[in-house]
Amino acid sequence: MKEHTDTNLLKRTFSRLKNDKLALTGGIIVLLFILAGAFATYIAPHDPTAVNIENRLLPSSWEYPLGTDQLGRDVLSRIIYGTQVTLRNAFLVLAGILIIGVPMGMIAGYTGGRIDNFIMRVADIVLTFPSGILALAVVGMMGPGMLNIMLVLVSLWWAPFARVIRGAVLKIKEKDFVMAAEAAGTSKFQIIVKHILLNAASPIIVLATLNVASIIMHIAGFSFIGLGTQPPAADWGVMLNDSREFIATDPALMLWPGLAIMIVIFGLNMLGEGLNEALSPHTQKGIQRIKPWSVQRKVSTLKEDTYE
Amino acid sequence: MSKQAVLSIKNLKTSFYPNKGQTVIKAVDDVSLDAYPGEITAIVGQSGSGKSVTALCVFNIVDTSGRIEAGEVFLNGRDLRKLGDRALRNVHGKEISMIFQDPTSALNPSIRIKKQLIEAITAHERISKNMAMKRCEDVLVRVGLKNTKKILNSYPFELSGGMCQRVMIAMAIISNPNVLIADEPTTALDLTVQRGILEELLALRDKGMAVVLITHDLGVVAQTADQVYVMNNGKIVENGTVYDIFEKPQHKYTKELMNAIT
Amino acid sequence: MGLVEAIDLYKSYDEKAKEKSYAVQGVTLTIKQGETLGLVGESGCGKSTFGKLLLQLEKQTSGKVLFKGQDISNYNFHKMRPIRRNIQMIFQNSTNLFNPYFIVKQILMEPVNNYFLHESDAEKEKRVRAILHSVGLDESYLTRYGNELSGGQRQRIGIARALILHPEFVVCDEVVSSVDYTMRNQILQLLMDLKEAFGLTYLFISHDLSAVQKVCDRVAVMYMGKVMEILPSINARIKHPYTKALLDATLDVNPRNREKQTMSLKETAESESAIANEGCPYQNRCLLAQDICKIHAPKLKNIGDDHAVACHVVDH
Repeated sequence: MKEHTDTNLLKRTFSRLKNDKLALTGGIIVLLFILAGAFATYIAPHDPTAVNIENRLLPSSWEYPLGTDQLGRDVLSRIIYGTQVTLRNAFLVLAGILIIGVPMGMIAGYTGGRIDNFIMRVADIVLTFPSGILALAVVGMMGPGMLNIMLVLVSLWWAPFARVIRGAVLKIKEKDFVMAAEAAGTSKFQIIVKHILLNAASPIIVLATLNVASIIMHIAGFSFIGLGTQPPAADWGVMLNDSREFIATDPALMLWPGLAIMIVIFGLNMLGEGLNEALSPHTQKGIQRIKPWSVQRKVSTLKEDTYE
Repeated sequence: MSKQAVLSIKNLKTSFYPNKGQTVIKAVDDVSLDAYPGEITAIVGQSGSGKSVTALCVFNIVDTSGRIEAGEVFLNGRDLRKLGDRALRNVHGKEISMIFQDPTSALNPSIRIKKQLIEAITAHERISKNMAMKRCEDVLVRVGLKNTKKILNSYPFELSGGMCQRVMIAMAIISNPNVLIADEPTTALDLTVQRGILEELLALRDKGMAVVLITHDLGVVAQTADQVYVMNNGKIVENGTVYDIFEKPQHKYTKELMNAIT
Repeated sequence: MGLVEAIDLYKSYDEKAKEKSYAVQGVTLTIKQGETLGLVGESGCGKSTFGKLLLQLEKQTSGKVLFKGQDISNYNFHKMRPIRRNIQMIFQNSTNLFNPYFIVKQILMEPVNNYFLHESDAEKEKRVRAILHSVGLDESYLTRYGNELSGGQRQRIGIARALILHPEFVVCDEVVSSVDYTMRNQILQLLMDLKEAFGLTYLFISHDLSAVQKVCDRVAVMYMGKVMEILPSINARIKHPYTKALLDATLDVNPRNREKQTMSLKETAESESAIANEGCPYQNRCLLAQDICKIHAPKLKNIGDDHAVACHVVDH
C-alpha cells in the first residue's frame, strides 16, 4: 500500500493520475489547450483577424497549415486564439458557478432546516429555467454578447452544483469524525473547512471538470447561433457559424473548430473520470446485493485495511 | 472416518490483485476442509483471516480483483471448479446455499417475502403456484416462524432482524440443499435473538444437513460446532473437534484465542 | 453529587414523533467520580444517543445534563469550551472514525491545537508523542492514514484522541464491539490502565455483557430508551426479566456446557409495532407480564443497596 504513504493530498493525486493512462492523456490534452490559449500571441503564425481577400479559401500549405477561411484569415491562428477566448470564458463561468454554488450547497447541507429548505427551493426554481430561452430573453433585452451569455450560464448553473454539494455534505456530516471534531473543541467554521470541505473536495473538483466541458459546448453553441461572441473575434462557435456556407465546397473549414471542441471536451471528460478515482482517499469497490440461493454476481469482501 | 464428506475443499488458493504496484494479497492460502452431513463445521478467525473468502470461492463469486489460483472444491463428488456457469447455477441453491451476515440488506426491501421465496424455488424447478405457496409455508414453519401467512405477505422491513434471518435461512433451504454455508449469521442480530437462530442451525444439522458456520465468535462455536477449523492470515492453522480446539489447543494462535476468552 | 448527572433526559430525532418512539425517554442517571458505569442494551435502545447527550454532542429535546453540578445543557460554543475538554468520547470502531485525508499526527493535533493555543509546535508535538506512547503505539504511526491501521490500532488512536486533553469523564461507545477477540482484552486492559493513570471516570456503553463484566463497577440496563435496572455491582442479584434475558442470551464459551435454549423472552415482530402505547415498554416480550404492565409504565424504584429496578412484578 505504498501509494497511501504520501502525506500530501496533491502529491498523492498526481502520482495516481500518472498511473492512469486515460486520465494522463486527458490531462495532457487539456494542458496543451490551456498553454496554446495562454501563449496564443507567441504561437499563432498570423493575426487571427487580418483579412486578406486574395488568399481566401486556400488549402493547407506551409504558410497556412490549416488553410484560410472565406476572408483569407489563417485558420490555425484563429483556432489558437479561439482557444484563448473559449477557455477563458469557460473558466470564468466556472469560477462564477463555484463562487455561488459551493457556499450555497455547504450552507444548505450543513445547517439544514429552514435555511436548507429556502436555498433548495430557490435552486429548484432556477433549475426549471431552460438556459436557451433565458439566454434569448437576456440577449433580447441587453443585446448579444458573450458577457450576457456568461451571466446567464452562471445564474442558472450554480443550482445543480449546489445540489450535488449539499448531498455530499449531508453524507459527510453524519460521519463520526465530524462529531469527534466537535468533541475536540473545533469550531463550526473550522469543521466546515477542515473536515467537510476537504472531504467534499473530490466531488466538487470532478464535477467542475466535467462542467467545464459542457460550458465550452454551450459557449460555442451560443456563439454559433450568433448570441455570444461577435465576429470578427476568433471563437470556435463563430468559426463554425462562418463556415456554414462553405460546407459543400470547403468542409475542412467546419472540421477544424469542430475537432478542437471535440478534443478538448474529450480531454476534460477523461481527466474528470481520472480525478474521480485519484482524489478518493481510498478506492473501494462497492459490495453488491446477493441472493443466497443463486449467487451470480461477483462480490467484493476485500476491505482495504484488512490485510497488512 | 467412514463417513463421506459432502463438501470437500482441497488445497484452495485465492489471491487478490488490488492495483498495480500493490502487493498481491494471499487471502486464502492452501486451505483444505471437509464438511460432513449431520455436522456443523465451524471456520473461526478474525476479520480478514480469509474465512469469508473461502466460502465465496466455493460459490466462485470472488470479486474481480481476486483469482482462485489452485485447488479443488468437491461437492457430492463433483469438482465445482470444473463446472460451467449454467451447471453451477443449478448446483447453487439446490445442493449448496449460503446465508449472510446482514439479513435486512440481503433481502430486497421492495418485494414481499412471498415473492422472494417463490423466486428461490422457481429458479430451479417448474412448480404450480399453489404448490409453491405450500412449500413456502412449510419452510417457514421449519425455521421456527409462526403466523406464516402474515409473514409471507410482509415486506422485509416489516420484520425484525431475527425474523429476516430466519426467512433467509428458509430461502436457503427451500430446495433442500445438502450443504448450508452460514457466514456470520448472528453477528448483525441482537443478542437476545442470536440463540434462536443458532437453534435453527442445530435443527438443520440434526436433520442431516452439512452446515458450514463461519464466525469470529467463539461463544457461537462452543455452543454449536462439531468440527472446528481455525484460520489466520489465509491459512488453516489448526483443526479438530470442538473439544480438542477448546481444551487442547496446539497452535500458538489457537492458544492465544483461547486465552483471550477466559 | 455525581460527576455527571442526567436529569429526566428526553431525545427525539423527529419533532413530530410520539413519546413512545423517542430515542431516549426520561433517563435520570448519576455517574460518580472515579467509577466505571456500564450501560448495556441491544442496538437501537438509545444507549449511544444517551452518551452523546451527556457530552452535548446531541441536543436534548428536554431535560438537563449536569457536569460537576453545573447545568451545561444549554451552553453555547464559548461557554462549553472549557467544559468540553473535560468530557470526551471514544467512538465505536468504524471506517468513519477519522477524517480520511488526515494522518495520525493531524488527527491527534486537532484537539491540541484547539486547547493549547499558546504552546509552541514542539510542545504540542510532545503531547502527541506522549499520548501515542501511553496507548502503546510508537512514533512510526504518526505519518499513517487512518485507513492504513488495523482495527486494534485504529481503536488505540481513537482512545489517544479522546485522552490527549486529559479529560475527567470519558464515554466509551462500543469500544470493543468490532475489535477482534485477541485485541479485545488488550483494549480493555489499556482502558483500565489509563483510568488508573489519568484518574478517569467512564461511561462504558456496550451490548457485550462479558466486556461489561470485566471493567464496570455498576451497570445500567436500557431498553427502548428507558432505564430498566441499575445494578449496584456486577455480582448483584438481577431482578428485571429483561436483564435476565440479556444475560441468558450470552453464549458460554465452554463446549461441554451446551444447554438447550431456555426461552427467556418472546420474540416479536418488527420492534416498532412491538412498542406498547401504554404501560411497560417490555410488556410484549416479557414472560412475566401481567395486566398492570399493560396500563401503567413502571417507574425506576430503589429496592435497597443502590439497586433500582423498573418492573411491577419484581420490584420488591
